[in-house]
Amino acid sequence: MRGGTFRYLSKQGLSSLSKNKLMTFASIGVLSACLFLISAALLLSVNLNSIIRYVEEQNEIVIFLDDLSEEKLAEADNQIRAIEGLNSVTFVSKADALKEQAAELGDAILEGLQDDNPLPDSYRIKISAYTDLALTVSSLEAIEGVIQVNAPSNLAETLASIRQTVLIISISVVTALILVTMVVIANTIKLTVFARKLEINIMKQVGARNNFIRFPFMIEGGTLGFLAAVVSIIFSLSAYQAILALTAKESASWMSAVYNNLIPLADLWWIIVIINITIGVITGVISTIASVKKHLKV
Amino acid sequence: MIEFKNVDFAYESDSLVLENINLKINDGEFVFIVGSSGAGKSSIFKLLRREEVATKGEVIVGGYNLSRLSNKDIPTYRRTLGVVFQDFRLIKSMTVYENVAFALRVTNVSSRDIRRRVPYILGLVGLGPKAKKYPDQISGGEQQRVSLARALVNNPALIIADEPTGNIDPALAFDIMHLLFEINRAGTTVLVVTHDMKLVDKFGGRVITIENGKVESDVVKESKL
Repeated sequence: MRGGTFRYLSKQGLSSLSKNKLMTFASIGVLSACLFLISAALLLSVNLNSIIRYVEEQNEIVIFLDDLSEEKLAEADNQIRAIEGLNSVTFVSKADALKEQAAELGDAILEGLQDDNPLPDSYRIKISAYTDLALTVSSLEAIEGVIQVNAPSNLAETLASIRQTVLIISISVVTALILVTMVVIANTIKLTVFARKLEINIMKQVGARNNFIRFPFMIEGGTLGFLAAVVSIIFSLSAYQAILALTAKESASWMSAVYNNLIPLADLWWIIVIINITIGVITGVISTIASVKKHLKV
Repeated sequence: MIEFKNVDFAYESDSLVLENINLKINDGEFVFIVGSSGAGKSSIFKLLRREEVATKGEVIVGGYNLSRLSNKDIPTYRRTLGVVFQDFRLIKSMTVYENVAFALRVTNVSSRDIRRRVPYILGLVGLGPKAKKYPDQISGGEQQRVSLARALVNNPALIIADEPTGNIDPALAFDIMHLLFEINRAGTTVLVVTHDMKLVDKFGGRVITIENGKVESDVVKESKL
Protein backbone atom coordinates (compact mmCIF):
# COMPACT_ATOMS: atom_id res chain seq x y z
CA MET A 1 0.00 0.00 0.00
CA ARG A 2 1.33 3.45 -0.96
CA GLY A 3 2.00 6.01 1.78
CA GLY A 4 -0.57 8.34 0.22
CA THR A 5 -3.19 5.59 0.08
CA PHE A 6 -2.46 4.62 3.71
CA ARG A 7 -2.93 8.24 4.82
CA TYR A 8 -6.13 8.53 2.76
CA LEU A 9 -7.65 5.35 4.24
CA SER A 10 -6.62 6.22 7.81
CA LYS A 11 -8.17 9.66 7.38
CA GLN A 12 -11.40 8.03 6.10
CA GLY A 13 -11.58 5.79 9.19
CA LEU A 14 -10.89 8.61 11.64
CA SER A 15 -13.22 11.09 9.94
CA SER A 16 -16.02 8.54 10.24
CA LEU A 17 -15.52 8.61 14.04
CA SER A 18 -15.85 12.39 14.16
CA LYS A 19 -18.84 12.39 11.79
CA ASN A 20 -20.78 10.03 14.08
CA LYS A 21 -19.82 11.80 17.32
CA LEU A 22 -22.80 10.67 19.37
CA MET A 23 -22.39 7.02 18.41
CA THR A 24 -18.64 7.26 19.00
CA PHE A 25 -19.16 8.66 22.52
CA ALA A 26 -21.82 6.07 23.35
CA SER A 27 -19.60 3.24 22.13
CA ILE A 28 -16.55 4.50 24.01
CA GLY A 29 -18.73 4.79 27.13
CA VAL A 30 -19.98 1.19 26.98
CA LEU A 31 -16.60 -0.16 25.89
CA SER A 32 -14.65 1.60 28.60
CA ALA A 33 -17.18 0.29 31.16
CA CYS A 34 -16.53 -3.26 29.89
CA LEU A 35 -12.76 -2.76 29.92
CA PHE A 36 -12.99 -1.23 33.41
CA LEU A 37 -14.83 -4.34 34.66
CA ILE A 38 -12.21 -6.55 33.00
CA SER A 39 -9.47 -4.57 34.78
CA ALA A 40 -11.38 -4.84 38.08
CA ALA A 41 -11.70 -8.63 37.66
CA LEU A 42 -7.98 -8.91 36.96
CA LEU A 43 -6.97 -6.67 39.86
CA LEU A 44 -9.24 -8.62 42.20
CA SER A 45 -7.85 -11.91 40.97
CA VAL A 46 -4.15 -11.03 41.32
CA ASN A 47 -4.67 -9.46 44.74
CA LEU A 48 -6.72 -12.40 46.04
CA ASN A 49 -3.93 -14.66 44.88
CA SER A 50 -1.41 -12.55 46.73
CA ILE A 51 -3.52 -12.67 49.92
CA ILE A 52 -4.04 -16.44 49.61
CA ARG A 53 -0.28 -16.89 49.23
CA TYR A 54 0.23 -14.85 52.40
CA VAL A 55 -2.28 -17.01 54.32
CA GLU A 56 -0.57 -20.13 53.07
CA GLU A 57 2.79 -18.84 54.22
CA GLN A 58 1.43 -18.38 57.72
CA ASN A 59 0.78 -22.11 58.02
CA GLU A 60 3.39 -24.77 58.34
CA ILE A 61 3.85 -28.51 58.48
CA VAL A 62 5.23 -29.79 61.77
CA ILE A 63 6.82 -33.23 61.93
CA PHE A 64 7.81 -35.03 65.10
CA LEU A 65 10.71 -37.42 65.28
CA ASP A 66 11.40 -40.47 67.36
CA ASP A 67 14.36 -40.49 69.74
CA LEU A 68 17.08 -40.83 67.13
CA SER A 69 20.81 -41.24 67.38
CA GLU A 70 22.87 -38.39 65.96
CA GLU A 71 23.63 -40.41 62.84
CA LYS A 72 20.00 -41.31 62.20
CA LEU A 73 18.96 -37.72 62.90
CA ALA A 74 21.49 -36.43 60.33
CA GLU A 75 20.22 -38.99 57.83
CA ALA A 76 16.56 -37.93 58.41
CA ASP A 77 17.61 -34.27 58.12
CA ASN A 78 19.22 -34.95 54.74
CA GLN A 79 16.14 -36.80 53.51
CA ILE A 80 13.79 -34.00 54.64
CA ARG A 81 15.85 -31.27 52.98
CA ALA A 82 16.07 -33.34 49.79
CA ILE A 83 12.26 -33.15 49.28
CA GLU A 84 11.36 -30.75 46.50
CA GLY A 85 9.13 -27.71 46.98
CA LEU A 86 10.09 -26.83 50.57
CA ASN A 87 10.50 -23.13 51.22
CA SER A 88 12.05 -23.36 54.65
CA VAL A 89 13.02 -26.17 57.02
CA THR A 90 13.65 -25.34 60.66
CA PHE A 91 14.86 -27.95 63.11
CA VAL A 92 13.52 -27.57 66.65
CA SER A 93 15.40 -29.77 69.11
CA LYS A 94 13.57 -31.21 72.12
CA ALA A 95 15.53 -28.77 74.33
CA ASP A 96 14.44 -25.78 72.22
CA ALA A 97 10.85 -27.06 72.27
CA LEU A 98 10.96 -27.18 76.04
CA LYS A 99 12.28 -23.63 76.22
CA GLU A 100 9.43 -22.46 73.96
CA GLN A 101 6.88 -24.21 76.20
CA ALA A 102 8.46 -22.65 79.28
CA ALA A 103 8.25 -19.24 77.68
CA GLU A 104 4.57 -19.75 76.91
CA LEU A 105 3.39 -21.53 80.09
CA GLY A 106 5.83 -20.28 82.71
CA ASP A 107 8.99 -21.84 84.06
CA ALA A 108 7.34 -23.26 87.21
CA ILE A 109 5.12 -25.74 85.40
CA LEU A 110 8.02 -27.28 83.51
CA GLU A 111 10.39 -27.42 86.47
CA GLY A 112 11.96 -30.81 86.81
CA LEU A 113 11.39 -31.73 83.20
CA GLN A 114 14.84 -30.55 82.07
CA ASP A 115 16.38 -33.91 83.01
CA ASP A 116 13.57 -35.98 81.61
CA ASN A 117 12.33 -33.93 78.63
CA PRO A 118 9.17 -35.62 77.22
CA LEU A 119 9.05 -33.44 74.09
CA PRO A 120 10.31 -34.91 70.80
CA ASP A 121 12.66 -33.32 68.26
CA SER A 122 10.68 -31.69 65.46
CA TYR A 123 10.86 -29.79 62.18
CA ARG A 124 8.77 -26.79 61.10
CA ILE A 125 8.43 -26.75 57.38
CA LYS A 126 6.95 -24.20 54.97
CA ILE A 127 6.18 -25.27 51.46
CA SER A 128 6.02 -23.25 48.26
CA ALA A 129 2.89 -24.72 46.66
CA TYR A 130 0.03 -25.91 48.79
CA THR A 131 -1.42 -27.87 45.90
CA ASP A 132 1.46 -30.34 46.42
CA LEU A 133 0.73 -30.73 50.13
CA ALA A 134 -0.51 -34.35 50.01
CA LEU A 135 2.59 -35.49 48.12
CA THR A 136 4.92 -33.65 50.51
CA VAL A 137 3.16 -35.17 53.55
CA SER A 138 3.46 -38.71 52.18
CA SER A 139 7.17 -38.13 51.38
CA LEU A 140 7.73 -36.92 54.95
CA GLU A 141 5.83 -39.86 56.45
CA ALA A 142 8.03 -42.28 54.52
CA ILE A 143 11.21 -41.01 56.21
CA GLU A 144 12.52 -43.35 58.90
CA GLY A 145 12.22 -41.86 62.36
CA VAL A 146 9.25 -39.61 61.58
CA ILE A 147 6.48 -40.49 64.05
CA GLN A 148 3.91 -37.84 63.23
CA VAL A 149 3.19 -35.26 60.51
CA ASN A 150 0.82 -32.39 61.34
CA ALA A 151 -0.25 -30.64 58.15
CA PRO A 152 -3.01 -28.07 57.56
CA SER A 153 -4.69 -30.31 54.95
CA ASN A 154 -8.15 -28.79 55.29
CA LEU A 155 -6.83 -25.26 54.98
CA ALA A 156 -4.81 -26.23 51.92
CA GLU A 157 -7.88 -27.71 50.28
CA THR A 158 -9.99 -24.65 51.11
CA LEU A 159 -7.36 -22.24 49.78
CA ALA A 160 -6.91 -24.32 46.63
CA SER A 161 -10.65 -24.32 46.00
CA ILE A 162 -10.90 -20.54 46.64
CA ARG A 163 -8.03 -19.97 44.22
CA GLN A 164 -9.66 -22.16 41.57
CA THR A 165 -13.07 -20.50 42.02
CA VAL A 166 -11.51 -17.04 41.70
CA LEU A 167 -9.69 -18.16 38.54
CA ILE A 168 -12.85 -19.63 36.96
CA ILE A 169 -14.97 -16.57 37.83
CA SER A 170 -12.28 -14.20 36.53
CA ILE A 171 -11.91 -16.08 33.23
CA SER A 172 -15.72 -16.26 32.78
CA VAL A 173 -16.20 -12.55 33.55
CA VAL A 174 -13.34 -11.51 31.27
CA THR A 175 -14.57 -13.76 28.42
CA ALA A 176 -18.16 -12.51 28.74
CA LEU A 177 -17.00 -8.89 28.80
CA ILE A 178 -14.73 -9.39 25.77
CA LEU A 179 -17.77 -10.76 23.91
CA VAL A 180 -19.87 -7.76 24.99
CA THR A 181 -17.03 -5.46 23.84
CA MET A 182 -17.00 -7.18 20.44
CA VAL A 183 -20.77 -6.89 20.04
CA VAL A 184 -20.70 -3.17 20.93
CA ILE A 185 -17.91 -2.40 18.44
CA ALA A 186 -19.50 -4.61 15.75
CA ASN A 187 -22.80 -2.72 16.11
CA THR A 188 -21.16 0.70 15.93
CA ILE A 189 -19.17 -0.29 12.85
CA LYS A 190 -22.28 -1.89 11.30
CA LEU A 191 -23.97 1.52 11.36
CA THR A 192 -21.10 3.23 9.59
CA VAL A 193 -20.75 0.30 7.17
CA PHE A 194 -24.46 0.61 6.39
CA ALA A 195 -24.11 4.36 5.85
CA ARG A 196 -21.26 3.67 3.44
CA LYS A 197 -22.86 0.70 1.66
CA LEU A 198 -22.94 2.54 -1.67
CA GLU A 199 -19.31 3.56 -1.29
CA ILE A 200 -18.32 -0.08 -0.63
CA ASN A 201 -20.35 -1.22 -3.65
CA ILE A 202 -18.64 1.34 -5.90
CA MET A 203 -15.24 0.36 -4.52
CA LYS A 204 -15.97 -3.27 -5.41
CA GLN A 205 -17.16 -2.28 -8.91
CA VAL A 206 -14.02 -0.33 -9.71
CA GLY A 207 -11.77 -3.16 -8.54
CA ALA A 208 -10.83 -2.39 -4.93
CA ARG A 209 -9.46 -5.34 -3.00
CA ASN A 210 -11.26 -6.44 0.17
CA ASN A 211 -8.36 -5.40 2.43
CA PHE A 212 -8.47 -1.91 0.96
CA ILE A 213 -12.18 -1.64 1.74
CA ARG A 214 -11.80 -3.08 5.24
CA PHE A 215 -8.85 -0.89 6.23
CA PRO A 216 -10.70 2.36 7.14
CA PHE A 217 -13.24 0.37 9.19
CA MET A 218 -10.43 -1.46 10.97
CA ILE A 219 -8.82 1.91 11.79
CA GLU A 220 -12.22 3.06 13.09
CA GLY A 221 -12.79 -0.05 15.24
CA GLY A 222 -9.21 -0.11 16.52
CA THR A 223 -9.37 3.59 17.42
CA LEU A 224 -12.68 3.10 19.26
CA GLY A 225 -11.08 0.24 21.23
CA PHE A 226 -7.95 2.29 21.94
CA LEU A 227 -9.85 5.36 23.18
CA ALA A 228 -12.05 3.17 25.40
CA ALA A 229 -8.89 1.49 26.75
CA VAL A 230 -7.38 4.87 27.66
CA VAL A 231 -10.56 5.86 29.56
CA SER A 232 -10.65 2.47 31.31
CA ILE A 233 -6.94 2.69 32.27
CA ILE A 234 -7.42 6.13 33.85
CA PHE A 235 -10.49 5.01 35.83
CA SER A 236 -9.22 1.59 36.91
CA LEU A 237 -5.79 2.79 38.05
CA SER A 238 -7.30 5.77 39.88
CA ALA A 239 -9.83 3.51 41.61
CA TYR A 240 -7.10 1.05 42.58
CA GLN A 241 -4.95 3.86 43.95
CA ALA A 242 -7.92 5.08 46.01
CA ILE A 243 -8.53 1.57 47.42
CA LEU A 244 -4.84 1.27 48.35
CA ALA A 245 -4.97 4.64 50.13
CA LEU A 246 -8.16 3.66 51.96
CA THR A 247 -6.84 0.30 53.24
CA ALA A 248 -3.55 1.95 54.27
CA LYS A 249 -5.44 4.26 56.64
CA GLU A 250 -7.35 1.39 58.29
CA SER A 251 -5.92 0.50 61.68
CA ALA A 252 -7.61 -2.91 62.23
CA SER A 253 -4.90 -5.60 62.28
CA TRP A 254 -6.59 -7.87 59.70
CA MET A 255 -6.99 -4.90 57.40
CA SER A 256 -3.30 -4.04 57.63
CA ALA A 257 -2.51 -7.69 56.85
CA VAL A 258 -4.68 -7.32 53.73
CA TYR A 259 -3.08 -3.99 52.84
CA ASN A 260 0.44 -5.37 53.23
CA ASN A 261 -0.40 -8.03 50.69
CA LEU A 262 -2.11 -5.86 48.09
CA ILE A 263 0.14 -5.46 45.09
CA PRO A 264 1.48 -1.89 44.83
CA LEU A 265 0.35 0.18 41.84
CA ALA A 266 3.95 0.53 40.63
CA ASP A 267 4.15 -3.25 40.16
CA LEU A 268 1.02 -3.71 38.06
CA TRP A 269 0.06 -0.48 36.27
CA TRP A 270 1.79 -1.66 33.10
CA ILE A 271 -0.16 -4.95 33.11
CA ILE A 272 -3.44 -3.00 33.20
CA VAL A 273 -2.21 -0.68 30.43
CA ILE A 274 -1.12 -3.57 28.16
CA ILE A 275 -4.25 -5.67 28.80
CA ASN A 276 -6.67 -2.77 28.20
CA ILE A 277 -5.00 -1.59 25.01
CA THR A 278 -4.54 -5.14 23.66
CA ILE A 279 -8.13 -6.21 24.35
CA GLY A 280 -9.55 -2.84 23.18
CA VAL A 281 -7.65 -2.64 19.91
CA ILE A 282 -7.76 -6.35 18.99
CA THR A 283 -11.49 -6.76 19.71
CA GLY A 284 -12.08 -3.48 17.83
CA VAL A 285 -10.30 -4.71 14.73
CA ILE A 286 -11.70 -8.28 14.81
CA SER A 287 -15.32 -7.24 15.28
CA THR A 288 -14.94 -4.73 12.43
CA ILE A 289 -13.84 -7.48 10.05
CA ALA A 290 -17.01 -9.41 10.94
CA SER A 291 -19.24 -6.35 10.33
CA VAL A 292 -17.83 -5.55 6.89
CA LYS A 293 -17.70 -9.15 5.63
CA LYS A 294 -21.35 -9.26 4.53
CA HIS A 295 -21.01 -6.18 2.32
CA LEU A 296 -17.94 -7.44 0.52
CA LYS A 297 -19.84 -10.11 -1.39
CA VAL A 298 -20.50 -8.03 -4.49
CA MET B 1 -12.96 -9.35 -26.76
CA ILE B 2 -16.30 -10.50 -25.30
CA GLU B 3 -17.55 -14.01 -25.86
CA PHE B 4 -20.58 -15.83 -24.46
CA LYS B 5 -20.39 -19.58 -25.22
CA ASN B 6 -23.59 -21.59 -24.65
CA VAL B 7 -24.37 -19.56 -21.52
CA ASP B 8 -27.24 -20.50 -19.20
CA PHE B 9 -27.94 -18.49 -16.10
CA ALA B 10 -30.39 -18.87 -13.21
CA TYR B 11 -30.62 -17.20 -9.81
CA GLU B 12 -30.09 -20.10 -7.39
CA SER B 13 -32.86 -22.63 -7.91
CA ASP B 14 -35.09 -20.38 -10.04
CA SER B 15 -35.87 -21.11 -13.67
CA LEU B 16 -33.39 -20.01 -16.35
CA VAL B 17 -33.05 -16.24 -16.86
CA LEU B 18 -30.65 -16.69 -19.77
CA GLU B 19 -30.68 -19.74 -22.01
CA ASN B 20 -28.01 -20.84 -24.45
CA ILE B 21 -26.59 -17.37 -25.15
CA ASN B 22 -23.91 -17.26 -27.84
CA LEU B 23 -22.36 -13.88 -28.57
CA LYS B 24 -19.10 -12.49 -29.86
CA ILE B 25 -18.23 -8.78 -29.62
CA ASN B 26 -14.94 -7.64 -31.11
CA ASP B 27 -12.53 -4.99 -29.85
CA GLY B 28 -13.59 -1.46 -30.74
CA GLU B 29 -17.27 -2.30 -31.42
CA PHE B 30 -20.24 -0.27 -30.18
CA VAL B 31 -23.09 -2.61 -29.28
CA PHE B 32 -26.59 -2.03 -27.95
CA ILE B 33 -28.22 -4.82 -25.98
CA VAL B 34 -31.97 -4.23 -26.02
CA GLY B 35 -35.05 -6.05 -24.82
CA SER B 36 -38.15 -5.59 -22.71
CA SER B 37 -38.13 -5.57 -18.88
CA GLY B 38 -37.25 -8.96 -17.45
CA ALA B 39 -35.84 -10.18 -20.79
CA GLY B 40 -32.42 -10.88 -19.20
CA LYS B 41 -30.45 -7.75 -20.19
CA SER B 42 -29.44 -6.92 -16.61
CA SER B 43 -28.33 -10.50 -16.04
CA ILE B 44 -25.91 -10.13 -18.96
CA PHE B 45 -24.66 -6.91 -17.33
CA LYS B 46 -24.16 -8.75 -14.01
CA LEU B 47 -22.33 -11.62 -15.70
CA LEU B 48 -20.01 -9.16 -17.45
CA ARG B 49 -19.21 -7.45 -14.12
CA ARG B 50 -18.64 -10.89 -12.56
CA GLU B 51 -21.28 -10.09 -9.98
CA GLU B 52 -22.88 -13.41 -10.98
CA VAL B 53 -21.41 -16.53 -12.57
CA ALA B 54 -22.93 -18.42 -15.52
CA THR B 55 -24.77 -21.56 -14.45
CA LYS B 56 -23.54 -23.27 -17.63
CA GLY B 57 -21.17 -22.28 -20.43
CA GLU B 58 -18.39 -19.70 -20.48
CA VAL B 59 -18.16 -15.90 -20.46
CA ILE B 60 -14.79 -14.64 -21.69
CA VAL B 61 -13.90 -10.94 -21.49
CA GLY B 62 -10.49 -9.56 -22.53
CA GLY B 63 -8.87 -12.94 -22.01
CA TYR B 64 -10.46 -13.51 -18.57
CA ASN B 65 -12.65 -16.60 -18.38
CA LEU B 66 -15.21 -15.29 -15.89
CA SER B 67 -16.61 -18.76 -15.13
CA ARG B 68 -13.22 -19.80 -13.80
CA LEU B 69 -12.10 -16.50 -12.29
CA SER B 70 -11.00 -16.87 -8.64
CA ASN B 71 -12.28 -14.41 -6.03
CA LYS B 72 -8.73 -13.10 -5.67
CA ASP B 73 -8.60 -12.13 -9.36
CA ILE B 74 -12.01 -10.39 -9.54
CA PRO B 75 -10.61 -6.93 -8.54
CA THR B 76 -7.86 -7.22 -11.16
CA TYR B 77 -10.48 -8.06 -13.82
CA ARG B 78 -12.82 -5.24 -12.78
CA ARG B 79 -10.00 -2.72 -13.15
CA THR B 80 -10.06 -3.45 -16.89
CA LEU B 81 -13.74 -2.36 -17.09
CA GLY B 82 -15.48 0.97 -16.96
CA VAL B 83 -19.01 0.66 -15.59
CA VAL B 84 -21.84 3.18 -15.91
CA PHE B 85 -25.04 2.66 -13.91
CA GLN B 86 -28.56 3.93 -14.48
CA ASP B 87 -28.65 5.43 -10.96
CA PHE B 88 -25.16 7.04 -11.38
CA ARG B 89 -23.94 5.63 -8.04
CA LEU B 90 -22.11 8.78 -7.00
CA ILE B 91 -21.08 9.41 -3.40
CA LYS B 92 -23.06 12.43 -2.24
CA SER B 93 -20.52 13.51 0.39
CA MET B 94 -17.78 13.77 -2.26
CA THR B 95 -17.28 16.49 -4.88
CA VAL B 96 -17.32 15.70 -8.60
CA TYR B 97 -13.50 15.66 -8.54
CA GLU B 98 -13.38 13.33 -5.51
CA ASN B 99 -15.93 10.95 -7.03
CA VAL B 100 -13.71 10.47 -10.06
CA ALA B 101 -10.45 10.42 -8.07
CA PHE B 102 -11.99 7.78 -5.80
CA ALA B 103 -11.89 5.20 -8.64
CA LEU B 104 -8.15 5.77 -8.96
CA ARG B 105 -7.48 5.80 -5.22
CA VAL B 106 -9.02 2.37 -4.68
CA THR B 107 -6.73 0.96 -7.35
CA ASN B 108 -3.68 2.37 -5.58
CA VAL B 109 -2.80 5.04 -8.17
CA SER B 110 -0.32 7.67 -6.90
CA SER B 111 -1.60 11.11 -5.80
CA ARG B 112 0.49 12.73 -8.55
CA ASP B 113 -1.22 10.64 -11.25
CA ILE B 114 -4.63 11.38 -9.71
CA ARG B 115 -3.95 15.13 -9.88
CA ARG B 116 -2.90 14.73 -13.51
CA ARG B 117 -5.65 12.40 -14.80
CA VAL B 118 -8.83 13.57 -13.05
CA PRO B 119 -8.89 17.14 -14.47
CA TYR B 120 -8.11 15.74 -17.93
CA ILE B 121 -11.06 13.29 -17.83
CA LEU B 122 -13.40 15.91 -16.34
CA GLY B 123 -12.46 18.21 -19.24
CA LEU B 124 -13.18 15.40 -21.67
CA VAL B 125 -16.78 14.99 -20.42
CA GLY B 126 -17.22 18.78 -20.17
CA LEU B 127 -17.29 19.01 -16.38
CA GLY B 128 -14.03 20.85 -15.72
CA PRO B 129 -15.75 23.95 -14.21
CA LYS B 130 -17.96 21.80 -11.96
CA ALA B 131 -15.14 19.81 -10.32
CA LYS B 132 -15.81 21.32 -6.89
CA LYS B 133 -19.59 20.85 -6.97
CA TYR B 134 -21.36 18.07 -5.08
CA PRO B 135 -23.67 15.61 -6.94
CA ASP B 136 -26.78 17.30 -5.50
CA GLN B 137 -25.65 20.63 -6.97
CA ILE B 138 -25.58 19.40 -10.61
CA SER B 139 -28.21 18.07 -13.05
CA GLY B 140 -29.02 14.40 -13.74
CA GLY B 141 -27.23 14.56 -17.09
CA GLU B 142 -24.15 16.03 -15.42
CA GLN B 143 -24.26 13.36 -12.73
CA GLN B 144 -24.23 10.71 -15.46
CA ARG B 145 -21.24 12.46 -17.03
CA VAL B 146 -19.44 12.19 -13.68
CA SER B 147 -20.29 8.50 -13.63
CA LEU B 148 -18.92 8.24 -17.18
CA ALA B 149 -15.76 10.14 -16.19
CA ARG B 150 -15.29 7.70 -13.29
CA ALA B 151 -15.67 4.77 -15.71
CA LEU B 152 -13.14 6.32 -18.11
CA VAL B 153 -10.50 7.47 -15.67
CA ASN B 154 -8.84 4.06 -15.40
CA ASN B 155 -8.47 4.02 -19.19
CA PRO B 156 -10.47 0.79 -19.66
CA ALA B 157 -10.55 -1.22 -22.87
CA LEU B 158 -14.28 -1.89 -22.35
CA ILE B 159 -17.11 0.27 -21.05
CA ILE B 160 -20.40 -1.34 -20.10
CA ALA B 161 -23.34 0.92 -19.40
CA ASP B 162 -26.60 -0.27 -17.85
CA GLU B 163 -29.49 2.00 -18.95
CA PRO B 164 -27.19 5.07 -18.89
CA THR B 165 -30.01 7.34 -20.06
CA GLY B 166 -32.74 5.79 -17.93
CA ASN B 167 -32.80 8.53 -15.27
CA ILE B 168 -32.23 11.63 -17.37
CA ASP B 169 -34.13 13.94 -19.75
CA PRO B 170 -34.28 12.93 -23.44
CA ALA B 171 -32.18 15.93 -24.51
CA LEU B 172 -29.46 15.09 -22.00
CA ALA B 173 -29.75 11.39 -22.91
CA PHE B 174 -28.70 12.29 -26.43
CA ASP B 175 -25.60 14.08 -25.06
CA ILE B 176 -24.60 11.05 -22.98
CA MET B 177 -25.06 8.72 -25.95
CA HIS B 178 -23.05 11.06 -28.11
CA LEU B 179 -20.26 11.05 -25.53
CA LEU B 180 -20.26 7.24 -25.47
CA PHE B 181 -19.90 7.20 -29.27
CA GLU B 182 -16.99 9.65 -29.02
CA ILE B 183 -15.33 7.37 -26.51
CA ASN B 184 -15.88 4.43 -28.85
CA ARG B 185 -14.32 6.36 -31.75
CA ALA B 186 -11.19 6.72 -29.63
CA GLY B 187 -10.90 2.91 -29.61
CA THR B 188 -12.78 1.78 -26.49
CA THR B 189 -15.29 -1.05 -26.86
CA VAL B 190 -18.69 0.13 -25.60
CA LEU B 191 -21.63 -2.04 -24.62
CA VAL B 192 -24.89 -0.27 -23.78
CA VAL B 193 -27.80 -2.12 -22.19
CA THR B 194 -31.00 -0.15 -22.81
CA HIS B 195 -34.71 -0.36 -23.50
CA ASP B 196 -34.80 3.12 -25.10
CA MET B 197 -35.47 2.12 -28.72
CA LYS B 198 -35.72 5.75 -29.85
CA LEU B 199 -32.07 6.35 -29.03
CA VAL B 200 -31.06 3.01 -30.55
CA ASP B 201 -32.87 3.86 -33.79
CA LYS B 202 -31.30 7.30 -33.88
CA PHE B 203 -27.69 6.24 -33.25
CA GLY B 204 -27.84 2.85 -35.00
CA GLY B 205 -24.99 0.31 -34.91
CA ARG B 206 -24.98 -3.31 -33.82
CA VAL B 207 -28.15 -4.15 -31.90
CA ILE B 208 -28.57 -7.44 -30.03
CA THR B 209 -32.13 -8.13 -28.90
CA ILE B 210 -32.71 -10.37 -25.90
CA GLU B 211 -36.20 -11.72 -25.26
CA ASN B 212 -37.21 -14.37 -22.73
CA GLY B 213 -33.55 -15.03 -21.93
CA LYS B 214 -32.56 -15.81 -25.50
CA VAL B 215 -30.87 -13.88 -28.32
CA GLU B 216 -33.77 -13.00 -30.56
CA SER B 217 -31.82 -11.01 -33.14
CA ASP B 218 -28.35 -9.62 -33.78
CA VAL B 219 -28.44 -6.97 -36.51
CA VAL B 220 -26.66 -3.81 -37.64
CA LYS B 221 -28.94 -0.76 -37.90
CA GLU B 222 -28.16 2.36 -39.83
CA SER B 223 -27.67 5.66 -38.02
CA LYS B 224 -30.32 8.37 -38.57
CA LEU B 225 -28.06 11.17 -37.41
